Amino acid sequence: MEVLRALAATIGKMFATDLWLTATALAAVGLCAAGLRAHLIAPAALPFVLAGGVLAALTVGVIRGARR
Amino acid sequence: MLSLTQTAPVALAALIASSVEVVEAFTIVLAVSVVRGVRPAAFGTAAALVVLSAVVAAFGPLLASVPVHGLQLAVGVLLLVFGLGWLRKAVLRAAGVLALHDEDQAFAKQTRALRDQSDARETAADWLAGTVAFKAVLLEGTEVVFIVLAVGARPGLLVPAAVGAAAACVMVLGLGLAVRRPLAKIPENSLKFLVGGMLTAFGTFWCCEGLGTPWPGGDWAILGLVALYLAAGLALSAALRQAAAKAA
Repeated sequence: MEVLRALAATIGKMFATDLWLTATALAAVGLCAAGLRAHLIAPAALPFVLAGGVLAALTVGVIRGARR
Repeated sequence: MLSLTQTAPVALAALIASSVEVVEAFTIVLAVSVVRGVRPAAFGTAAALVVLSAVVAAFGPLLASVPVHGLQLAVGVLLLVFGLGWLRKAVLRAAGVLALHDEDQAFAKQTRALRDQSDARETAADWLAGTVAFKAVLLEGTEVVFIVLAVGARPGLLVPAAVGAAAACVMVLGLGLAVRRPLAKIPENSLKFLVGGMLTAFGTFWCCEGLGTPWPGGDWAILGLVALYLAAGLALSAALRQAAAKAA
């Protein structure tokens, strides 16, 4: 039972150490997908917009981590 | 037929990422074998490897039945979140905000805990030690399995990813058997920095491919993304160190 609990904690830690980081990364992908579908983002621009969103998520995560 | 430019980055990413996890598992298995002998350490490790192999055997073929774009998007998002977590932690450690992971300290802590438990009956102590080894290999191995399945989530790439992870196990075990000490000299945070950048790059790449948008430059774009994220990570850690020095 304890092993299962530790396993669940490990899986949780893998994807949600910092909920803000997870949320901003998911938001970056979600907004890109929505923008593409609504023709607000050109397919050729999507890689660069997504990479920019990921960089923004990393920056927010690091700044929040440093403030704790 | 896949080219070397497609398989080599996947195998390399799996090798480097897995080696970080294998080093951490090895430290605990070594502590078990030093305190309670090789038998419980080997038994716990073997049992965990059987469970992990069963997981790969169950999920590997299942992944092949998922549509490629859907799989790439799902795996891309998971890799992105996982990789960003590693990169963020590595940046904070490099900037001195978080303490570095110390294998010597982890070994001493585990050895102390096992010695305390050794007051119990011999068989119970062996059982407990075996469980500790089992847990360490299972938990660290879960991350290795995820990395292998995730970076290998494109037709034909699972084998190079598995080969990379297996090479990491052989390398760490070989080094560990040679020195018979925790592998504390391995620059773990630098490796985590690199792996965080690589996993985030793979995640970004596959999210776009999953959304049906190819990258300019094809697979070579992964290298550009790795460089971009590592440069950003280094710049962020330098900025944090500078801010801390100014505040002091």
